[in-house]
Amino acid sequence: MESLRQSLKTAMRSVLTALAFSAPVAAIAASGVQLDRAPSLLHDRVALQRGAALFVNHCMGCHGASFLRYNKLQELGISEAVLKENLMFSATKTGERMLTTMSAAAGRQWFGATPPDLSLVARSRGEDWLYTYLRGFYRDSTRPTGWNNTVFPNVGMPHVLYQYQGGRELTIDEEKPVLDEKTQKVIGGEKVVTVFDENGEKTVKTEKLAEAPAHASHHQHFAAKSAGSKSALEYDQMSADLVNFLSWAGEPAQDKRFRTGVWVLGYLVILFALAYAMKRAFWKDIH
Amino acid sequence: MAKPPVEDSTRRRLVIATSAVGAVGAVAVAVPFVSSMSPSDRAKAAGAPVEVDISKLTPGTMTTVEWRGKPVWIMHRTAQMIDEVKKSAQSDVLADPESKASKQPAKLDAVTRSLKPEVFVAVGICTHLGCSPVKREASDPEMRGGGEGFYCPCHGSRFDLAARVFKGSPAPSNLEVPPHKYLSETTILIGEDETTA
Amino acid sequence: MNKLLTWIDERFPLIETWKAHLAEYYAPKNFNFWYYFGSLALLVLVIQILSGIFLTMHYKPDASLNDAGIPVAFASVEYIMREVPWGWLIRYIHSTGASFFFIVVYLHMFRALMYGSHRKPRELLWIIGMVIYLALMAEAFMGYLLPWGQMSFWGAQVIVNLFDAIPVIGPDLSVWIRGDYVIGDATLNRFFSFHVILLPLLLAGLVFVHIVALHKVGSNNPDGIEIKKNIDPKTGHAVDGIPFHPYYTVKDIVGTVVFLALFCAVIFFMPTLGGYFLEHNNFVPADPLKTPDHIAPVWYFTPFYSILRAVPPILGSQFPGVLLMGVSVVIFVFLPWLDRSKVKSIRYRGSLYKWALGIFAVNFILLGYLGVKPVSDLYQLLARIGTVIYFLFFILMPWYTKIDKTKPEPGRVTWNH
Repeated sequence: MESLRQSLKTAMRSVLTALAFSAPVAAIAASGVQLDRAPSLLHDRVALQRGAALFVNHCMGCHGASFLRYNKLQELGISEAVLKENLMFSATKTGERMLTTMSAAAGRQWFGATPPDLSLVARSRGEDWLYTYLRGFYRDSTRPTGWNNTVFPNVGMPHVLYQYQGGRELTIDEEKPVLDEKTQKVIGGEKVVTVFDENGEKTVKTEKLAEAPAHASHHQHFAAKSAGSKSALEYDQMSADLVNFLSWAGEPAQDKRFRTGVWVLGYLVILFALAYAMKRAFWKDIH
Repeated sequence: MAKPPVEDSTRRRLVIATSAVGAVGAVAVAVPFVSSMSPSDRAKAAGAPVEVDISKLTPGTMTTVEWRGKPVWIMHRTAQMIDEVKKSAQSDVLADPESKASKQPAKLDAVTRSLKPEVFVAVGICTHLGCSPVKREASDPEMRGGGEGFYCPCHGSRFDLAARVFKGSPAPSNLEVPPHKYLSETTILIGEDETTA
Repeated sequence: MNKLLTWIDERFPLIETWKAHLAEYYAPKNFNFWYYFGSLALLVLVIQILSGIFLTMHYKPDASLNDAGIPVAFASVEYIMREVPWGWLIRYIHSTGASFFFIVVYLHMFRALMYGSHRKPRELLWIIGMVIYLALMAEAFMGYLLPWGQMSFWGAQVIVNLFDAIPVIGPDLSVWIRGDYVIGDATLNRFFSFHVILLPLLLAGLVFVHIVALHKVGSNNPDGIEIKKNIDPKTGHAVDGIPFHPYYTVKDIVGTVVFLALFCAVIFFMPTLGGYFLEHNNFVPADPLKTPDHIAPVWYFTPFYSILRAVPPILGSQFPGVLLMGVSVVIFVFLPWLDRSKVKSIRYRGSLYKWALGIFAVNFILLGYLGVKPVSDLYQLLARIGTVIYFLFFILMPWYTKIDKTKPEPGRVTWNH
């Protein structure tokens, strides 16, 4: 069943891509950054449980998941005892909704905007966006929080998982044609290298290019500068777990939906065979 | 031109088979629609068992908690009250002294209608038409000499201190005792016992 | 059983109705693939009404915020998706049904244009159909506000603001439609009322009338000839007609099963259809202070939306665009009179009509595609060309259908057993 699901999913994905059904969420974020594909671990219960724990411990201080009740997490194989012991900080009953303890007003005061409820963030933003976002924080001393993000420019949220990821330096390489101000004609090209170092200090180097590039290009990469408590691989894994949990949280029924669908379509195939035979049996007297 | 449909057996068999399989499908489609009307997660969460701390409940007093939208009484009975309960159980003033026609968990003590004699739990909804009875002293004329107990203001049903209905009351049975269990000496869980958990 | 039937029949024309509309309704025997969509449209209407009844049990049209700061209406949809047993299925049936309704109706309309089903004597049938289509657009538009997400809110905001462009009365009219200065709780509640009561009643009534009108004139067929002209003197029925029941009931059951398979494939495996059936931004609660980067109506409105956007403001007024969009929908009503061809079916028409209809269909899809996309210079130009082509199809129709070389219609329907 699992592998069937996986292969069907892949098949459907490629069909959709082939039909260019990609418009509303493109693989490129609004900020122009290429998104990384989030690993899909929806059947990995252990990964989902890790994601739930990460969410409760690191996100729920500011963000709620108000459409989930704590006891819904039991569907991920978390026992009631573990739920009460380890995952419920502010709630007393397992049937309570997963609300944040931070008030909307406090959120506005601290971050400039109320941190959004995350129940549906995977459905509105997409898993790939979230995965890239969680791994796209960089130091920027011009921001009030000292943090910025490559896919969400000027985000109000600081890098809460910083202790795990450690310090990094962001380098953005851009090549673009230079236009004449009056005629708007290409008169040359330039290369701009922007660096945000580990402390958020920005340096920009511009050099003239001999030949104008055909298109503007934008590349960026991070370089680790000081170690966090997790390795880069472990941090990616952590981000994937969190995104995976949010994906489940966006539609907890999705697994049941798929499993039901297989039965429904199987049933319809049988019904089709019968209905078609019945139609033939009747239509044989039409001449 | 079409001839009028001839009854042939293949055709009949196919009509029956398609109708049968179609009917199975129709029933299967009805399942999600019908079950969508049963309690949702929200209703279940709101109707979840309620934990009550009774450490501060002094003898002779009672408290009311809400469980599934209904008032549940928890009364700390004194030794004298327990005596009265035992006394009325033996007299012939009660309509259903052994609570045979009344709703209560199987494990209760037959006489005191409780797990522990001194702690009495009941749903405070009259079995007659659903009003909530009130506590009355023995001296109250409304109790008509029946002793201390509960009185329903709507139609005058009277109950003893184990919420058993007195003969001559409109209520057909004793008040319901909800499923409950002790989580510790001083904590009761209303809405769940060993059989329902 | 027979006794009961007699008892009823003495008081209600049960057997008579059964005969007139099913067992002895003689339909042409040469219906092809395109003739499934009428019964399928009826099926989708029933699906939408049934699933809608159950959604209404749990949905709350309330724009106020709950304790988590989320609008109650939005939260009630998620409540259905998560907390109501099988609620997700009922909601996906309804949301997918909306899109499938339009797919089926568009194919049903295209069928009419191919085989001349709108031509005499079926003009009134066609007009009733167009009224159904308009009611369906209103039904879908108002239903789309109810989830109270960002796209619901801003989509409604944009469309209602179109009324602003109407000279003189526009601004007052749009405020009256909303019942507020922005789309708000009052708007949500009246749209809910229209969506669950007024328009479904209207649709059910119109569909009834549509079928009555169809059975009065009889069904057209892919040959576009009237089977009633060729009556068998022995039976008194059309020679090329067959009783709807059982022949077309068993055939439509096959069509229904195939349709349900496609419908269920979407519901169970891709209910958002990559953002076309359920838009990503509609999973964000409505926020009157923050417009999403890109607003587009749901796909079934986008051909007309493209026409709206293609028209530049004239004298600083958006009204010409709004007017042209309105005309682009209503103009279908006049088709029976714009078409001057001697024959009805595309099978016996010349290449002019075949090309015209083909280009029109492709152009309609192209306009729909452009309507989903953000405006750019290239797209704007394409949309303008598309708009011109769209209207040329109608305006030039009396001319090209008249000069088009036609083939003689056959006396009997084409039927290869």
